[in-house]
Amino acid sequence: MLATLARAGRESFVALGRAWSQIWFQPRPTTPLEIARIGVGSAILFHYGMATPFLFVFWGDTDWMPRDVALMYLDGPWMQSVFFYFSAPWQWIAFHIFFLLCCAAFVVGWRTSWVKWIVLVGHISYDYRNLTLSYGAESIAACLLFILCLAPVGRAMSLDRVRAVRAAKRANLEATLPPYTGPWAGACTRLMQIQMAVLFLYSGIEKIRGDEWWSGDALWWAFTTTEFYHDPLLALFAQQYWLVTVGTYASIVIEIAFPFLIWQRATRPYLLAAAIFLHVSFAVLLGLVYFSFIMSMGQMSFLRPEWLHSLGAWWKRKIGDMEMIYDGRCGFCVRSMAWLLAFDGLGQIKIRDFRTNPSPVVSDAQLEKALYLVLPDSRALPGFEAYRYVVLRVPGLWWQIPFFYVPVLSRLFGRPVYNWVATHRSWLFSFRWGAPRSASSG
Amino acid sequence: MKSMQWRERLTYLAMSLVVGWHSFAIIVAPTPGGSAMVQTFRFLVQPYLSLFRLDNQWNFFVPVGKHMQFRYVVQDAAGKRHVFIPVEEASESVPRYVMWREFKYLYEGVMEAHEIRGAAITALLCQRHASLNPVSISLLQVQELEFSPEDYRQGHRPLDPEFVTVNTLSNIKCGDGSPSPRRSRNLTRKLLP
Repeated sequence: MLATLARAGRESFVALGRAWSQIWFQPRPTTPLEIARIGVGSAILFHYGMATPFLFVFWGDTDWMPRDVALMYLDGPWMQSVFFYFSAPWQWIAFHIFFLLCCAAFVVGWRTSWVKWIVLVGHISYDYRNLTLSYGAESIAACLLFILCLAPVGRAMSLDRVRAVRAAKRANLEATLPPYTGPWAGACTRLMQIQMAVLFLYSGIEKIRGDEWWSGDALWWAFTTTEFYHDPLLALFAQQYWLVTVGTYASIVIEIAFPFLIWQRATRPYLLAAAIFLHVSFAVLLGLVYFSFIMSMGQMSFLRPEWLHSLGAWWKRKIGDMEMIYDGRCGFCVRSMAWLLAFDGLGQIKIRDFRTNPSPVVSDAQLEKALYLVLPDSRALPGFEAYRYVVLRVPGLWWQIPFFYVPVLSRLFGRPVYNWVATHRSWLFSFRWGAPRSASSG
Repeated sequence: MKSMQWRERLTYLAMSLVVGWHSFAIIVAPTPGGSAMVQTFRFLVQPYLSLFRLDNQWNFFVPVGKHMQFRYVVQDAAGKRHVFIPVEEASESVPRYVMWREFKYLYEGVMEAHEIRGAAITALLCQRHASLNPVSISLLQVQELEFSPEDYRQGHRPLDPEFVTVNTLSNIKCGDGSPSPRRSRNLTRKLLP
């Protein structure tokens, strides 16, 4: 009897442990968190970048919010800000510049493992230095940033990933680095999901406790305030008041339904779409762009990795194969290829070293002069045109579009620059990495 | 081999503690603190919530309520009254336009704590409007009242005089030796009738 009970207890404990692991520690890629990192980081960078001219107005000791007044808004010693320890104006300026640089590094994923903590500390510091400025956007940004600090972000869609792939490719261009997946990434994704679900749940519950929402008039009230005043919309609502009622109740339904239905496979796409629609509406109609954007980035944690995988596969199919033919004897060319391929996270570009594997489409004589890109219809694009074509079609290279697609100017300067680099590639290689190798004379 | 297993188990335990603790904290944070149990939980998690800025109620738009607008009146040496409505100032730059809401909240902060902050803000505004030779500055709170669809259809707007109440929060004299203004600002200025 006792043995049976013990066995049942042990089995229950094991089942519980298995369920706990399934909920929290499923190995997952960091991609949804990386999207949140880029989004939240960009929003914070933009926000504080725009606040630069008002650094002392908002957070200085001699303007609207002196330190002694700011301290009155705080409750306890745990609410800290680095600004409380500054005394000279240059310290504000230096910290602000450093913080913005860290935000930029956080967005591009450069040294992510430590810059994320500076972004968090900075954001909290600004917030606690002047709590009168704080609203939902700052709160949710802090919550998401903290989870991103715990998470192993920077393993995908980042310069850190590019550097790791490039290091592998410098040894062998064909080398591939498997995408990062891990149980801790799964746990942090789940934490962000729970954060968003809790937020929606409490937001919905608080709304239905109030008369304005319960009576269906909340939207009217919101749009008649000076903060959210929207004359064309009020004109419409004044004529068609049922829209106010529908909009008010729809907001509550979405917020209450979200934390319950977002977990199911079948309902997640609809709830996610509804939540994003809700926040796009807030952004467009209420002007809450910063808040809505950060909320939407938090919702990215609900993106299923397989959705992102399917999206990537669809993009690859749509663009078609691209083969880059390079000179494997040229050290500079190999290093350049390693850089380029490191940004090709979807693996869209195939490579061919014409020294060991001649191309049936482009002659060796042509390839001596420039790198070529061969497309599925056998078109071959040389040098600058090859890069120009690839930059638009490889998402990891989209940041280069402004350089390659300025009308007239890009081609005017790009072609001669490419041709000069191609002609002097051996010299460039020796200049940058010491004496040229014997095999790098191509 | 055995130490590896132990390390894995310890890592798993640590990860479990972190996710369990954090989930607990973010669920407790917005819970109304009426009951003794919630207060106990809150006592446990409060330092963690405060330190990492996780302490939130998530009560967006509750209540939507009626809002208020900050205005101030500068009375100059000639007895003329100049009314300023900071949130209606034309944005002189893109950053000023983007940070509109932050400025609004900054002014609202003054209204909410005018007993404490009124004197300091008046001194600041006296400096800023030194070119007007200000004698005193009144801080005003324009409180919005109910505004119905019928009011809108009749051609009224929420900030029309009959839909607001204006409260004078303070009227403080400017100090005699106020320094010259630190920067000139393109403030919207209206002369009172």
